[in-house]
Formats: sequence, structure tokens, C-alpha cells
Amino acid sequence: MISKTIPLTVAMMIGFHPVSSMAQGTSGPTISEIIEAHEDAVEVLYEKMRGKSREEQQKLYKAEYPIPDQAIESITALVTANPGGPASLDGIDWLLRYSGQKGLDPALYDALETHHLHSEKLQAIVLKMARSRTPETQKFLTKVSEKSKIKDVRGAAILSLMKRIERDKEKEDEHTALSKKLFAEHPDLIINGRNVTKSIKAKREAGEKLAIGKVAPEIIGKDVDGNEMKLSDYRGKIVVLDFWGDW
Amino acid sequence: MYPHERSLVARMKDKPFTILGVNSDSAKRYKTAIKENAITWPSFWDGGKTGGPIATDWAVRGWPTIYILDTEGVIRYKNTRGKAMDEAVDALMEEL
Repeated sequence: MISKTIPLTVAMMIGFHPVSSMAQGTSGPTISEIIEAHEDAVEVLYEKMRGKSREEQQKLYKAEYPIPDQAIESITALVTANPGGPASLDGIDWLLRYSGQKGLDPALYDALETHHLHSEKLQAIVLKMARSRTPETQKFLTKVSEKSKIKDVRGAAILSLMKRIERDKEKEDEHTALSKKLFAEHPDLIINGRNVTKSIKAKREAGEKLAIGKVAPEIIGKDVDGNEMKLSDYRGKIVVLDFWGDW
Repeated sequence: MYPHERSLVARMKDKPFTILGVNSDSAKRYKTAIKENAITWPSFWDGGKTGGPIATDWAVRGWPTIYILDTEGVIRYKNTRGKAMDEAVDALMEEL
């Protein structure tokens, strides 16, 4: 029964401290304590899921994943109360894990801009913002891409601005303008040890080979039974080449 | 998808035409899919995952992705579906 009581204790720990008292910084857990308590609760759940069937794991995950709402609220309040503090960046970084397309509370963008625009740690944060679809996120990323004194943070902000719209066919021009800027100003942007600018360029060149009017690159492959087949075997026929899957 | 493709294949039965798939399913799933959906056209099997070598070479980011090639192997249309696919194939057929 241990696994059941731990998340409960955690929930109480967080819940027992009213947000207002924490915001004043008088008492209550710190940002890192709240994050740690939540991560511990998640770890307890993962421990419980270990070794179970996939179906059981999904069921457990759905039923018992520790609801982060209280932690989100508490951390948001703490960051707002002390936006310049060193822990606030960790807090915002964590908040972005759960904010998805909705992005951050708008006040937090101001906090980041005022206090952390020139911090190297902002890179991880702007990269996580690629998922957010709000205009506030776009405005913030644009500002970072122009004003941060840290070059790699500016580059990461451009990258996130591109990622946000890469599947949006209506924003192709915007995407092209951003990639031009990235290629010109950040020819060797390294993120997690990978030269992302080079890999984007390589992808784009591959895309140009696949433009309308170009001879399709040869495909040499196999059917599901291992028999070799080639695209050029079908010369002389009109071919509908269909990348498909039954899902 | 499948019913439309089947009817296109039926309509082009005696013409120089084929659908050529690049399939990203597991082998088992692929075999079930062709049986259940009466798929008669050939497919490359791309290793059982969406990041397979052919899809990677062709920079495929979404499924289905469709290219229509003329008899010389030139890419003439991209992601043309449904009625537009029929019209594209008809237009290429008229060039012959």
C-alpha cells in the first residue's frame, strides 16, 4: 500500500500551503521542493507500472498520474512573487512540460524578459516553447531572437519560431524568412551536441530533389516478403507513389 | 482512401498505370491490411516503422504522402488526393 500513500502525502504537502502565503515567501515549499515532490509521485507511479502489461500500464497512467494542477499553480505564484530569483527559471522550465499548446501564463513572459533575457539557461526554455501556439509565445520568442545577448539563445528562439509553424502551409513564407535568418546568423547552431542548422539545410536540399519537375530519385527496396523491387521497374507507367500505413 | 484507390486501379486496369506503395506498418499489420482492404497493388515495405529508410530519403513527415510520376519518372504532382488525384492521372494519361 506504500505506493498509494506516497502520492497522497505529496498532494497534501503541496495542498496544505495556501498559495498566498507562499507568494509572500514566508513559508511553504520552495520551487525545487514542489518539483521534487511531483517528480517523486510520478516516479512512484512508474515504479508501479514496471513489469505490467502495456494495457495495464496505460490504465494505471490514466487513473493515477499525479495531477500537476496544484503544483503548476504554486510554482506560477512563486515565480510571479520572485521572478528574478535563480529558481524561477527552473520553475518556468518545469511549467513548460505541462503547458503544451497553451503556453505559459502571460505574466511569466514578462518575468522572463525582464530578468532572464541574457541567461544561457533561457535556451532550454525557448526550445520547449516550440509546442506553444499562443501569440504571446510568438511575441516572446521574436523578442528573444532579436534581443538576447547570448547568441545560441537567439538561435534557439529562431528555431522554435520555425518549429511552431513548420506544418502550417499558410505560413510557408514566414518559415522561409526565418530559415534564411537562421542560416545567415547561426550557420552552426549546436543543440545537444547536434549541428541543427546543418541538418535543416540537408533536409531542405533533399526536399529540392523531390520538387515537381525533377526526376524522382531511384528507390531500391524490398517488398514485405523480401523480394527486391525498384521504382525504375515501373518506368513507362504512370505511378501514384503512396507512402501509407494502416493506422 | 482504400475504396477510392481500388476504384482508380479498376478504372485504369488496362492502362499503363500503377499505385506503388511505400508501407510503414509492421509486417504483420501490413499483411492484415492488404487482406482486409483488398489491396492488390505492390508496396515497398519500409522496415516496419515511420522512420524507415525510404520515408527518410523522401523526407516524408506525414502519412499518407503522395507523389504522382509520369511515365518518364518525373514528379508531376504532390499530395494530390481524391478527385484531384483522378484528374491528375487522367491528365497524364492524355499526354501519352
